[in-house]
Amino acid sequence: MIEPVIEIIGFTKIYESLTAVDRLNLNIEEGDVFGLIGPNGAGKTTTFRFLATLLLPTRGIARIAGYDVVRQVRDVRRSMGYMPDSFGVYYGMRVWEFLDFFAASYGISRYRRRRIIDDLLELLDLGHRRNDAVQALSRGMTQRLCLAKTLVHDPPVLILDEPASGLDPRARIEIKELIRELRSMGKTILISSHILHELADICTHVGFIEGGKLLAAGDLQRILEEIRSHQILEIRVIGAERREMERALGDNADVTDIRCDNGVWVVDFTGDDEAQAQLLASLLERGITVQEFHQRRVNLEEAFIKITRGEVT
Amino acid sequence: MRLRPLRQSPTLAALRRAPGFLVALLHPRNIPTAVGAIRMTLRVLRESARRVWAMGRAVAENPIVTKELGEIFQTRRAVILFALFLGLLGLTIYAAWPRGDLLLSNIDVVARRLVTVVGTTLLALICLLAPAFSAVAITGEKERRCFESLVTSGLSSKGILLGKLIASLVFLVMLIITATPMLSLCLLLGGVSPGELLGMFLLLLEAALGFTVLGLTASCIFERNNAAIGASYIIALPLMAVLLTMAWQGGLFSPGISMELLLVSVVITFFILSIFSRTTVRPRESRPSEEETAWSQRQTGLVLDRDLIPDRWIAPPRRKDLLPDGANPVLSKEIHSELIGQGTLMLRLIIQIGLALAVVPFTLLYFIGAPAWFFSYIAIFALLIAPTFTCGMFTGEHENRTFSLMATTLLRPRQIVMGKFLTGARLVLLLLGILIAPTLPALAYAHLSFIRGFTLGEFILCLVICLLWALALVALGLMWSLISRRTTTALVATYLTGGAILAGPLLIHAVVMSFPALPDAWAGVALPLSPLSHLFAIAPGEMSEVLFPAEGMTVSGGGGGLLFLSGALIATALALGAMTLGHDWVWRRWRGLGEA
Ligand SMILES: Nc1ncnc2c1ncn2[C@@H]1O[C@H](COP(=O)(O)OP(=O)(O)O)[C@@H](O)[C@H]1O
Ligand SMILES: [Mg+2]
Repeated sequence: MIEPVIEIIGFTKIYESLTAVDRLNLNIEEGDVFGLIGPNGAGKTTTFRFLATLLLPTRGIARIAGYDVVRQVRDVRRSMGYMPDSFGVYYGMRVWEFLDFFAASYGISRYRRRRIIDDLLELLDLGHRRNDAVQALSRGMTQRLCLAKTLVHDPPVLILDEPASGLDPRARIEIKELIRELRSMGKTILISSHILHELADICTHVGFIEGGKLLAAGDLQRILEEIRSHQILEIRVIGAERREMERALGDNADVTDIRCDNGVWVVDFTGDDEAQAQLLASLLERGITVQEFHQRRVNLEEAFIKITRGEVT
Repeated sequence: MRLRPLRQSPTLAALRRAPGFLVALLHPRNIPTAVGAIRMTLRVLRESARRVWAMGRAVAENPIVTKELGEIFQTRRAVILFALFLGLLGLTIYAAWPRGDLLLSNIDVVARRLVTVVGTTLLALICLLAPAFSAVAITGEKERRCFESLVTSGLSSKGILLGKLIASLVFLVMLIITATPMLSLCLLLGGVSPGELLGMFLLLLEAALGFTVLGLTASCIFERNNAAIGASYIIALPLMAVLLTMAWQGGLFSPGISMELLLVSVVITFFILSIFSRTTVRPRESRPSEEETAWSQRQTGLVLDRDLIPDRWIAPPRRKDLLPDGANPVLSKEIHSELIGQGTLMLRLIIQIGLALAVVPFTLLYFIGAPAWFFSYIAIFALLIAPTFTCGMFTGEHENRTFSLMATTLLRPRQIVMGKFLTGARLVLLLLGILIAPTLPALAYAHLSFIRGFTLGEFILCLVICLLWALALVALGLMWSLISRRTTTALVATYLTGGAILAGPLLIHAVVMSFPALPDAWAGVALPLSPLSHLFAIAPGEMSEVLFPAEGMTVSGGGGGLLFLSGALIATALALGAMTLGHDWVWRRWRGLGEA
């Protein structure tokens, strides 16, 4: 088995009476982009700060690139780039000075710094703001600048705490593009958000955390497929007999469950789009007047947790 | 009963007829008018009473007052402070209480001294604490970004200011009130009349009000806690020195003057309140920093020019190229930080005020021959300015939420501590240098025995004492900044501890010498700690003795001065070492506390 790049074992953090994170276990392998999803106050930031060597755990251990985050602090810092969920910038510094400061703080030689700053400014599309004061940047640019800061020492692991929060849709897309690019560079990325939707197209794996507990975690692609194959159809018919409807639906091999909710038939369906069309056709054939026939929008989070329940706990 | 119709208010009409008012009342024709007048008066009185009552209720229900009082009394610290304060007060009174072997005629004098000492100490405490409480009242809300919501909460500006004023005052007033029973004990001794004691309380209340208003005003004017606190202390400390000197000389006991001062401060209070409630207690639209700089430049009439001297020394020109290898990134960051750059505007204001104030010591130095006063001035000036630069250096990283960015790099504690220390030391020494530079020509005169009995060696020794004292203060401020959670706390703590080291030993000396019950040997125990006593020992000058009335508050000559120098050096080095070693440990204390 491959050694996980990020490994959390039984992490628990208790603030006075509040358990912010409760016995969290997580393994993230090299090259994964792991999205940690949870509402505000779920414990995402607490977990990330622990990994970033900023927080001592009440219980539990974690390793990043094989180094213990409590005991081998400098090694961990060298192999990880951390972007906090909220952060300030040093007033009065210019963009290149900001990056220069952090690069020098990681002990990078001046010769290499010159290259790194140029490359990062280009990668993050900040080249034209190179000489601007950092506090004059827009929120989206500040976020990109901070991302650049986490990359100055070229760490194999990135820990990004809600990098897209508070951004407008366009800036959000830019950040996503960047993360995709970082992924293609082979970085292992741990990223958080309060909505799955935001991360769905950049993550390889996701986990759901709520009230300090990791509810579910797994391979996003596999689970999305499973979700896609479990559809819910809502059918509204006019004047059809209940028994006739039950027979018509029950005859179809892809239908796994039928309920009738206030005159709307709710059908669990495992077939593909073509099978759906056939189901509709069969209803019409039987002379049933179908007023409405559509696929219910699935709540990704709910479906995900439903499907993966039992895998984690 | 029908009243005779009146064209004007019966009250006014009746009053207009005064002084024959009473006579008129008795005239049968006027009785209905008089009854009307009395009724009107009663109604006016009732209305006024209702208004006062409503105002009182508004104050009591002012959400700011309730919120802040809740905050004050929730903390255990307030209780501990009170207990400590009362304990100290009791101890002082007990120690100074006349013992049996005193002559009866002496008891009066002792009682008076006792009240003077306690009153002066209280006054000092109030002067020191009041600006600390009120200077952050408005700026604190601004820094916590609660200001907008406070202003838009429906409270009027006057309500906000009044609430803040009362909330900052309550603690001080309680301090004064809790001291009452103990002080009243002194009445038993005779020598002090209840009227005089009352006068003293009024004076204390005025001082509390005056200094609170001062802090509040600074809080309205400035945008940041540091600036507001720095500015209010820079004004408050000299004022305080004057007040304390007056109090020490018995000025505590004259109710007439106190009443006057009280009225004046109340008038000023409301004057300032009304001014600022109209203009300042309103959120400024947030503007980018460059505009803000331009704004503050317009406000202060000061323009920072990084290419000119001395601005260039204080805020060096921007770097053109990458940091050299092996340079300390923190040092470079701090030196170029906007805090210092922007603070420079305030700084120059301070320098200018400082230079203006220095005219007096200069005169003393050159014409009266009391160089010690000049150096004392420098030592006090160092105390005034050092904390404003150093106290925000660690806490600022939290307050500006840059902490976690820096904390996850590979910077070593040594780099961080030294970077910050060197920046602070450089600035403070520079400013002192600017202050001292004009005296260098005096060196030449010193050779010509212009200042009799003050040699070159002594001049240099005094200079070095002042500079090392400043260095130690920089380390002290950094220390507090490292262990405090907020810049405000660090600032107040540094002013208090620094002030205690500077003036405490002299105060102890004065107190001990005032009371026969205390052994004289205690008087000099703490003196070697204060740079002031060394300065006066080394450079007494002809007039120093006259101007520095408490004789014997000095430690013996140059040897003591050298001792102080090495002490200050060692203390600074120890502080730096402790900060380097404890740095990570202290940060761990914050770990998990969040940054907000
Ligand atoms: N320093 C602290 N002291 C007390 N409670 C805290 C502290 N930091 C976080 N918490 C609590 O821990 C819980 C998890 O917070 P956090 O990890 O920031 O959540 P998230 O990032 O998922 O929004 C919250 O309920 C929060 O109130
Ligand atoms: Mg968070």
